[in-house]
Parts: sequence; C-alpha cells; structure tokens
Amino acid sequence: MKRNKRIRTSLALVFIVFSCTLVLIPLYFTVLNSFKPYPEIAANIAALPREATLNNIKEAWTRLNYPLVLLNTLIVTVFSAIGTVILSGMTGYWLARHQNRFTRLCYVLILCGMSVPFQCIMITFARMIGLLNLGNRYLGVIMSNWTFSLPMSVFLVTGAVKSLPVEIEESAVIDGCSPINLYWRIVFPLTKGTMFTIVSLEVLKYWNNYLMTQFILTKPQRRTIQIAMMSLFNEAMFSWDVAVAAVTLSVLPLFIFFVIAQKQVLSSATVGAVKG
Amino acid sequence: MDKKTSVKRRVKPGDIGNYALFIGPTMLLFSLLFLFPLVSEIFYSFTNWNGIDPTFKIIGIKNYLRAVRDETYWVSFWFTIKFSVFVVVISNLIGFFWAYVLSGDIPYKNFWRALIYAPRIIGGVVLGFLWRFIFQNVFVQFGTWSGIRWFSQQWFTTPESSFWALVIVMTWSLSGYLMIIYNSGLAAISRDYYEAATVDGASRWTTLKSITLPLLKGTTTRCLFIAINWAMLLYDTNISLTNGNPYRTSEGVMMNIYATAFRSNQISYGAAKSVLFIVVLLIVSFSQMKLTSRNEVTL
Repeated sequence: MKRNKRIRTSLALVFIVFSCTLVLIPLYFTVLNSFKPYPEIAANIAALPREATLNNIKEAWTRLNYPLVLLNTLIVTVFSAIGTVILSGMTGYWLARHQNRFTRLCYVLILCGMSVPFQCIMITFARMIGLLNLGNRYLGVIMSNWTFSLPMSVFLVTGAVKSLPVEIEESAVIDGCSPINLYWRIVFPLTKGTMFTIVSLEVLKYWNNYLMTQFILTKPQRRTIQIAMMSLFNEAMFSWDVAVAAVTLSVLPLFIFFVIAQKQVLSSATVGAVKG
Repeated sequence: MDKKTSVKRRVKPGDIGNYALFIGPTMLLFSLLFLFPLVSEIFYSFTNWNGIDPTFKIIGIKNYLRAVRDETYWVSFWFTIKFSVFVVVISNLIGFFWAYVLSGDIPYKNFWRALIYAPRIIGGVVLGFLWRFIFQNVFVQFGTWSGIRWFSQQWFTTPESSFWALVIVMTWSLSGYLMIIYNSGLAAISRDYYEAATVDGASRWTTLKSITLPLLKGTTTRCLFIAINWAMLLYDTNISLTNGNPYRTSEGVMMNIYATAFRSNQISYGAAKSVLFIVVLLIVSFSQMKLTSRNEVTL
C-alpha cells in the first residue's frame, strides 16, 4: 500500500516537472537567444551562446527607448491602480450601505459593464477620447483604466463591505463622525485585503493593455511598452536577434513583479474568476 | 437583502453632498467613457456616418442587413467560434488535469503552481511576438532537426497553421489560470467525502467520477465561461501573431470590426457589427447565469 503510494507520487511529480518544462520552454528560448548574435541563432537555436553578447539588448534598449517607455508604462499603471482603489472603494462602500432606488440603479448600470467589454464599444470610445481632448495624455489612459476596472472592483468592494458588521459604523455615526472620515478611518482599513486583490488583479491588465492605449497614446514620447513593441515589430529594419531581445526586455518587469507579489497574484486570480 | 442594512426609499436632501462625493466622480466617469459610447454606438449603427463628414442620415437597419450579408464578417465570426471551441476544450482539460494531479500529495505544490501560472502574466501584443519567434525559429529548427514536418512548416502562410498557432498560444496563456481556479474548487471539497469513499473501498476512478466531478460542476461552468470570454474577445494576440495572414483567413471578429471601423472608415457599419457581437456576448453571459445558478449543487 505504502509503496504503491510512493510510486504514484513520483509519477505525478515526473508529470508535473515535465509540464512545467513544456510551459516554460518558450520563455527559456526567448531569454537564451537574446544573448546570441544572429548567425548563432540561425545555426542552432538551442545551443548556449558561444560568446554571450549584450549587443542585442543594447540595440533593443535604444530602439524601444526603453527607459522612457518603461517610465510611461509605470506612470499609467501606478496612477490607474491608485485611482481604482479610491474610486471603487468609496463607490462600493456607498452603494452597499445606502441602498435605495437611485443607488440600486447605479449598481446595476455599473455591473452592466461586466457583460459589455471594452472591445465592443471601442469605436465610439475612440471618438469620445477625441471629444474630451484626452488624446496623448496619460490622464486619458488612466481615466479609461479606472472606468473599465470599475465593474469588477465595485462588485468586489460591495461584497466585502456587506460582510462587515454595521454596528461599528453606527457607533461612529453616533460619535459624530462624518461619512468621509468614517470611510477612510474605519471601513477602508477593514477592506484592505480586497483592495490588495483588486490591485494585483488589475495591475497586470494595465501593464499589458494594448488595444485601449493605442487609441490614446500615439506620440513616440508617450508610448507604453506594448505600443513601443508594436512599432518595433512594424519597422522595416526588422531582425530576430533584436526583436527577441526586445521581447525579453518587455517581459522582464512583469516577472520581477510576479516573483515579488506571487502569492497575492495567485490568490487574486481565484477571486477574479467570479467575473467570468 | 441583508436585514442589517436598512433599506431607505429615497435620497435624503441633506445627503446629496455626500452622494456627490462618494459616487459622483465614479458615475460621471462611467457615463462619459462607458455608457455614452455604448448608447451612441447603438445610435450610430442606425446611421450612415463615416466618422469624418459632419452630417449623416438615419438609414434604419440597413447596416445590419449589410452585416448579415457580409461574407468576411461571417468568416471571421466562424473563425472566432471554431477557435473558441478548441481553446475552451483543450485549456480546460489541461487546467483540470494539472489541478487534479497537484491536489494529491506532492512536495513543493505552490512552487509548481506558480511556475505553471507564469505565462499568464504576459499579455497584449508581446504574447504574440514572443510566440512568433518560437514558431518561426524554434519550431522550424526543431522540425528540421527531428524530421517532424508539422513543426518545420512555413508558419502563418496557410490558414491551418495560423489557426493552430493561435490555439496553441491561447491555450498556453489560459491553462495555468484555469488550473488555479480548478485548484481552489478542488480544495473546497470536504475531505469527509473522500474518507467515506475510501472506507467504502471506492477506486480512485470512481471517486473522481462520482464525487470530485459532480461537486466541481460550479467551478467547471465558471472556467468554461472564462475561457469562452477570453477566446471570443481575442484581438491583441491576433494582430501580433498572425495579423490575419494569409489573406485575412485568420481574422477574429474583433479584428474584422476594427478593420471595418478604422481601416475603411465605415464607423456606422462597424458599430452595427459591434452591436451584433454584443448581442452574442449577452446571450453567452445570460446562459452562464442560468447554468451557474443551476449548477451550484451540494451533496
């Protein structure tokens, strides 16, 4: 019996190690070939670099304008995340605690956003960006990110607030606490867990957003990583050694983030699944 | 509704300031960038506006009739559906199998989970570019080395190769994510059922068939619809990996709508195509709600 079990465990382990290898092998090839000159890539793609070179990385770095592009992406991501936490927190709290016809209507409208994704309204959205004069402004992307994060995050916050005991808030109201103080001093600290979930769920979306960003940030100085990658791959002077180095550069920050926030990202993935 | 929260009928006049503070900015933003575009898209779909001219006429459902008769639209629709079916089935099978194996006692479970999940964090056009390198260089060299023709074919020059390339990339990206969700579903099943089954001498296969799978119905439905949604809305990977090649045969609905509206400046016609697609998505999410409420079973 015991021996049988050990065999099964080791079989499962072999299977899992095999799966992980299969899953990670594309990443391995990408990173490995970023350090090889093109003749070596063409000769043998799997071989270790005979003379590891940083030339590809350097070339990709300047062609992408990496520091600027990274900074742009970072600005967009950070401010999008902060705003989403503030907006969805306050709105979610108010909609959960002050239920009447008006707030119900607001809640239902916001939840509608879950079934109509951005892609479906992009045509008129692009026009709206023009009308509001948000083109080539960070604020344009940031505000759009807030908007399209709202349905999911308001839904999560409302759920979290409803599970809190209302008595704390009632006693605070009796002590003369204003609603805004009440929210930031009492409710917000209690919903921090949900906020972390929302942030780690949305940050990757902001970082990887291409379709929405390309409507708004078109100037070279305003490019995010995704936009810069698109234009690099559309360029006439295209060669795989530089391209693969650019891919490595563009996924590197994500992996650093993933290694640091791995637990949070994995647990929020499950919570986010309610959206479907 | 919760008994604890008192349900008031109306907004009290003294509260208006607080309403404006707490939900005002959100609703303003949401109306401007979501509700207004949605409503105006539906409106434009009944006009002949091209996005440039200052004037336009209301032409009724002509755009819709044209969309129904438009062959490229249906070709892209069919492509999306076919693509979705393959991605949904394959990624769910893989995701479930990984989760099932990882639910046994294996050392370093969380480490393996993190590794398998890792591809998920890559997204947008970068995902497509990364795989273009793999298909056009790694696969080809592997094919010539091993003699397996399928790998060394000219990728993205035949409709089949583009289709399977997209399926592979989407499956790679989704399976780990689905595994995490299946994982939490499996963890939520009480140990007692398994203990009872072991006492009764049930085999592993019977346990899987009559305890795990029925109790996992809710999770399975959820995972199926997550995959459907992701596959149907395919755009970024589509343009970066195949860009419709060859001859627009690997073009999903989203790419078709984008090309109609922005490449050939037929805003109203593109809007009509979008509205049709929204209807399809609404049917999907409605059936999801129906199925989820029916499938939340307990033994």
